[in-house]
Amino acid sequence: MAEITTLLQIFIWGLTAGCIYVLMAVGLNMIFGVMKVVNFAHGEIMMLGAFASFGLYYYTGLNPYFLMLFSMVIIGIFGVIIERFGFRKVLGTGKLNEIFLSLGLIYILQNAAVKLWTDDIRKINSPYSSMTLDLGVLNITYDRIIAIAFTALILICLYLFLTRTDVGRALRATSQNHEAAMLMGVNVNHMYMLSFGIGAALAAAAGTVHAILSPFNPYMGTIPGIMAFTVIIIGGLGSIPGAIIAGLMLGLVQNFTIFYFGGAWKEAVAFVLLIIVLVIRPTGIFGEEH
Amino acid sequence: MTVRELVGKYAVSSYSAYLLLVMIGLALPLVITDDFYNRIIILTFFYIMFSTSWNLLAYSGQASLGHAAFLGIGGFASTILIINGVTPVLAVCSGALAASLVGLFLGIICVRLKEWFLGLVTFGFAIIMAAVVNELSVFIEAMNGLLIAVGLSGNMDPHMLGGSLGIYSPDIVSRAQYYYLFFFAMVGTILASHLVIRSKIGFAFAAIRENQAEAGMMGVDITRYKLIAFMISTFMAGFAGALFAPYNYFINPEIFSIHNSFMPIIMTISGGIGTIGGPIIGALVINLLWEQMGLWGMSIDRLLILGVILVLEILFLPKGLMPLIKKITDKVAGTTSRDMPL
Repeated sequence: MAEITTLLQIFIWGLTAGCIYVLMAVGLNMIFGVMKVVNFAHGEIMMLGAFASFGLYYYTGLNPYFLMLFSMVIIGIFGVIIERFGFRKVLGTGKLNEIFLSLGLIYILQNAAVKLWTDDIRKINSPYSSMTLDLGVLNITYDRIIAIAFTALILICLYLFLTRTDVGRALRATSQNHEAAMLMGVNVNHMYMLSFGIGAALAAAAGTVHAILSPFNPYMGTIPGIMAFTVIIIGGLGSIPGAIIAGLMLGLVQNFTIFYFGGAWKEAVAFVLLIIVLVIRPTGIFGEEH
Repeated sequence: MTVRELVGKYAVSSYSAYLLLVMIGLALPLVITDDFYNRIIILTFFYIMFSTSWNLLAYSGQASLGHAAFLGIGGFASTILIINGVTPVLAVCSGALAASLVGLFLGIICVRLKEWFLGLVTFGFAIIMAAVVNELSVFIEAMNGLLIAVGLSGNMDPHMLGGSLGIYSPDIVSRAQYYYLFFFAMVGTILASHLVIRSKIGFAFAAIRENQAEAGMMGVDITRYKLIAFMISTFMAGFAGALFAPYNYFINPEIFSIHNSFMPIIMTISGGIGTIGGPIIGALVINLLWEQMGLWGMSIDRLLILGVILVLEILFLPKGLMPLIKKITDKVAGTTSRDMPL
C-alpha cells in the first residue's frame, strides 16, 4: 500500500494532466458542436501553441503565463484561417473529406514545424519552476497550481461568454440547429470561424501549459490529440461538461496507472476505458443521440 | 439493361487492360535485375495490397484512420510464428487471420457509430497498439527494433544479423521468388477486392455508403455487411503485413506509426477512392514519388509534400487520378465511360 502522500502527489499530477486534456477536449467539442467537424489535427494546433509561446518567451523573456494570452490570440487567428480556407471548402461534401483534410493538416503542420524549428527538445522555463507550495505532507510546484487555476479561469470565462453574451448565445444556437439559427439572423459562417478560433486558442493554452510542465518538440501533439479524442468520446461528443469530467478522469486514471503498472500502459488504459464506455454507453457519459 | 449485361459490356475494355498489366508484371523481372529497383517494385506491390484493403473498407463507407494496426498485427503474428518454427505459409495465413479477428472486435464496437467514432477509435487503436507492443517486447524476444533474421523460407540469414534496416541482397533466385510471391499476392488481393465489390456483398456496401437508412429499409442487414467489410479489409491488411515483415527481415513497433496508417489513405485518394484501379494507380504514383524524393535526399520535406498533396486533392481533385485514366483507356478501347468502378 502506497503512502497517502504519494497518492496525493499522483492525484495532483493526474489533475494537471487532466487539465491539458480538458482544454484540448473542450476546444474540440466547441468545433464539433458548431460545425459537426472532428478536427484530427487538434494535437498539432496545440503544438503550434507551444511553439508560439516558446517563441514569444525566447524573444521577449517575459513571464510565459502572460505570453500565453498572446499565443492564444495568434493561434486563434490561425485557427480561423484554417477554417476559412480549409474546412469551409469541404463542409457538406461528406464526412470523410473533412476527416482526410485534417489528416493532411497533421502532416503539413507537424513537418513544417520540424522544418522550421527542428525536432530538438525544448522547454519553457517558468519563473516559478523551483518554487513549491509546502503543505506539510506534500509539496506542490507552483506551476501545477497555476496550470489548474488557469484552466479553471479559462473555462469560467468561456462559460460566461457562452451564456451571458449575444455572440455566445448565437454560437449555442448554431450548435443546436443551423437552419433555425440562420433564420434568426445568425451569420453561421462567422460562427464557424469563431468556434474554430476558440478551439484553436484553447489548444494553444493547453500547449503552453504542456510546454511549461514538460519538454516538447514538434511531435508533442500527437498523443495529447488522441487523448483529447478519447476524452470527447468518453464524455460525449459535443458535451462540454462531459469533456471536463472525462478529461480530469482520464488524467487521474492515467497517472495512477503509471504508478501501479508502469508508464507504457498509460495509453492502453485510455483505450480500454474508451472501449468500455463505447460498449456500455455508445453516446458517452453526457452525450445525446446524434 | 440488366446489371449482368452492363458489367459484361463494360468489362471487355477493363479486363483486357488488366490482362496487359498482368503480362507486364510477369515479364518485369526479366527486365529489372537491379536489387534496388526490385525492392521498390515489391514495395509498390505491398502498398497496392495495403491500399486495396483500405479502399474496400472505405467502399462500405467506413474510413479507418489506423489501418497500420492491422498491418502490424499481421506482421508481428507471422514473424513470431515463423521464429517459433511454424511453416511460413501457415504463419502468413495466421497473421492475416489474427488481424481479421482484431478487426472484427473493433468493428463490433464501432459498427453502430458514426464516421467520426470509427475514425477516432481506429486512429487511437494503432497508436495504442504501438505502445502495448513496445511494452510486450520485454517479454517477446527479438523485438523492439531488433533485427528479425528470418525470411519467408524460415531459414536464418546469417548475413543479415548485423545488417542495417531491411536492405539485403540475397541471390538472384530468391529475389525473383520474392517478386513473384508479392506479385501473385497483389493480383490475388485485387481480384478478391474486385469479386467482393461486384458481388451482392459489394452492392450492399455501396448501398450502406450512399445512404445507410435507405439501405436498411431495403432490407440490407447493415451491421452484418459492415462487419463483413471490416473482416475482409483487415484480413487483406494483415496478409500484406504478414508477407512484408518477413520479407523486410525487420519489424518493430514503428509499423504501427501514423505514417503507415496514412499512406493507404493518401494513395487511395490520389488514385480514386471507391474504385478498383484507384489504389493501384495511387500506390504506384505515390510510392514512386516517395522513393524518388528519398533519392533526392528529402526526409522531412517529403512528408510535408505528402500532406500538401493530400490537402490539395481533397480540395481540388476529390475523385483522384482515376477519371483521367479512365478517359484514356476508354479512348484506346473505344468504349464510353460509365460511372462504374474500374
